Amino acid sequence: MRNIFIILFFFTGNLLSINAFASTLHIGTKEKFSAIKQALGIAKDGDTLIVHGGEYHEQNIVIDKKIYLKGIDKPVLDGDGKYEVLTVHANDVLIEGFTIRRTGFSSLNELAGIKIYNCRNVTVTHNTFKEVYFGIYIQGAINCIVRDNELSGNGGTETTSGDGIHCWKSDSLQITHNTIHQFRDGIYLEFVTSSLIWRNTSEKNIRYGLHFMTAHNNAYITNIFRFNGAGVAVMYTHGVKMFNNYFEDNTGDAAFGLLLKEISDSNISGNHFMNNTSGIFMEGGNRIVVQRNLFKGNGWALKIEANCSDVAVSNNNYLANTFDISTNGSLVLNTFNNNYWDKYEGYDINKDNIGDVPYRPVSMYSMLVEQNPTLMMLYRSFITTLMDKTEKVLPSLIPEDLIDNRPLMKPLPL
Amino acid sequence: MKKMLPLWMRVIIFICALALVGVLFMPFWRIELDAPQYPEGLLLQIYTGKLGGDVDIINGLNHYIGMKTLHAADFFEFKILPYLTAGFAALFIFTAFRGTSRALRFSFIALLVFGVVAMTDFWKWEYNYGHNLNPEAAIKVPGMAYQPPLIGYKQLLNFGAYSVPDIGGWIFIATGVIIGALMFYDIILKKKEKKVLKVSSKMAGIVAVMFAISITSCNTQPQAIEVGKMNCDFCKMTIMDTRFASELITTKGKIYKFDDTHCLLSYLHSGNMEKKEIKEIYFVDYSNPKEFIPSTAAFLLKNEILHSPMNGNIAAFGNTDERAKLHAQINGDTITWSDLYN
Repeated sequence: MRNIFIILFFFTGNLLSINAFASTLHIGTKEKFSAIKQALGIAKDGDTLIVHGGEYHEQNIVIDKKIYLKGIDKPVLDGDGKYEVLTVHANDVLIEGFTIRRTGFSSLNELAGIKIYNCRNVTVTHNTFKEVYFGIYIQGAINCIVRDNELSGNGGTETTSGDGIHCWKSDSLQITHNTIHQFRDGIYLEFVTSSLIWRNTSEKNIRYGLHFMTAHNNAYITNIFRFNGAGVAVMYTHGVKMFNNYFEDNTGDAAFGLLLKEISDSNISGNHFMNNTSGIFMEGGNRIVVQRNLFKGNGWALKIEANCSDVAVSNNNYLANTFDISTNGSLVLNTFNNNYWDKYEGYDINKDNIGDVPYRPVSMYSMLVEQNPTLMMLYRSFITTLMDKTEKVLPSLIPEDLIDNRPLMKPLPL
Repeated sequence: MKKMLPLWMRVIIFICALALVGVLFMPFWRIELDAPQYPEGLLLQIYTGKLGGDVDIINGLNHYIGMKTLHAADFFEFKILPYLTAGFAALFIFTAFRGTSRALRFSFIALLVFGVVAMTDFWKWEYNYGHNLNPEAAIKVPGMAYQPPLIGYKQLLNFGAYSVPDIGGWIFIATGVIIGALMFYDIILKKKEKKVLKVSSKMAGIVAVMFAISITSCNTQPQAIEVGKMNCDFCKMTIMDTRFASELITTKGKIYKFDDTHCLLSYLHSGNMEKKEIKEIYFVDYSNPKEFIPSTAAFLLKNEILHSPMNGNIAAFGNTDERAKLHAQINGDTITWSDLYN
């Protein structure tokens, strides 16, 4: 009991000590300070800087103290098309309520609206970014939060667009509820671990809505990716959790809802893949669970290359896709049971809601198209129907093991 | 004082002239397309003044991959070719009656020049026809061009395409060979005029070289990379930053594109490609991303700061000065392609 008192005493004592020395500095045309840099110069750790509405052209503002920087009435921090706006390399900084616009562009230095590097516990919330090269750039940071921001790129060409939220060599980041559009990649993670990407909308980006490169053990949950060059690209990564995301309208030549290359020990569940050229394209995947997803109206629902192994595809709904599954070889080391396929024509005499006849979702024609894309011009022609029928009688091309032994009779309630 | 050609030569020349008149009514060139789904094959015949064969079917097929439809009206060549052919017939008749060596030489050289120009024009047309595709096409195959072969066989996706002269073309070629043979025979008869032989053999040599160039000048050059449209052939990523890109051209003329040296190396080590199949590897010039540098002449700089798309972090330069400029800015390791791959 006494120990608790001592702890409480220390705790409250610490709080008091911070409060005793923390002060609030006001910046604005009618305030004590007219420039943010001026106030920053005399601010101490733990101070609050309140910036009132207006435009501030202060070139590059470097925050190297533990402060709370708050905007009232959305003050504008303008980089004049030449500078990085805010650069943070102090722990425990909070930035809230600004409009940040017009960063510079450089092909060698990745100028950003806010750059956070080599520090921890930095929070960026409720800001609007416009015409920025990179929106938020996080490098070598731990335990940072990016929440409720709206970011739009400079709408430039491919080479002059950076990424919306670019994270490199960081850990335990939380990127939640941001709206990101018109960048190269909406969110980019490289060498980032144990992070959460949740409830973001990433759309109309030139390349990807979300892009992982060697970023292990992260989760992305309930995000919306639409109208991007491709929805999400995950490469050279293990331990990815992908739950309840929406991949929509990522159409274009060789566009994917989800592009997976060299992925292992991951889980893809409860996602919606709608109206993409290819819903999922998987190359070199190992030990992946693909379940309870909805594939609707895609050109190819799931392209799974022959070099994938131990991929368990189960309890998914396949509705109105041109091709449900396609692969590029006869070797199959994956399982495809308990799915609902709208093209399945079997029957269910014992009424257990499982079709009595196994289903092979790969048609011979889709195998041929995989080898020879131009054959698409014969889609739905008599000759391809004839080929598929011939294949049913004399199987030769389609992989023997690509089979659903328990096809469902009714779609799952997903 | 000009010596006349012997009578038999003039008769042959006259017959050649009549044969050329016949060419006006026969198919000149043919492109045959073979594919499993067309057991009979498809045939496109090119006359001097029109198109023949299965034009409508071919137009229908090509529509899907975004090729332009073929209409005789679109080719100014069809307007002038009949007149040119008739013109040659007239020239030969004139030569036959005039009967001088000079007229013979003139007709032969004119015919040869016409042949080379016609073939070059034909190749250019095939190139445009096969490369200018409608971006809205229903079926798009990245990096695929549908250029038919000039002469011989080429596989275009599932179609095997043969391009060979048709009856008219053979007659035309035979005419050229006969006239040429007569001319050289005539020259050998007049050994005194050695200078002429030299000149005309030089001419023939130049023409032959031009002809050879016109045949082989396809697909050995790197192809401009369309940013945001083309995908890396190894990592499948859309190429957004051409500064680190490279291209591998095979001996067969197929071009593989990579967004990063890392992908190029991975592809080379993947076992999909034998060393002897590689014709050349080109790097994009970091300081001038529109230019390509052959791998043998590239000066490379490797530094993590470069942040290339797939962490190869290698920039290529065409000369050491450009490399030194960047090296002074960011340091890093200066390397050559042979350090990375041999």
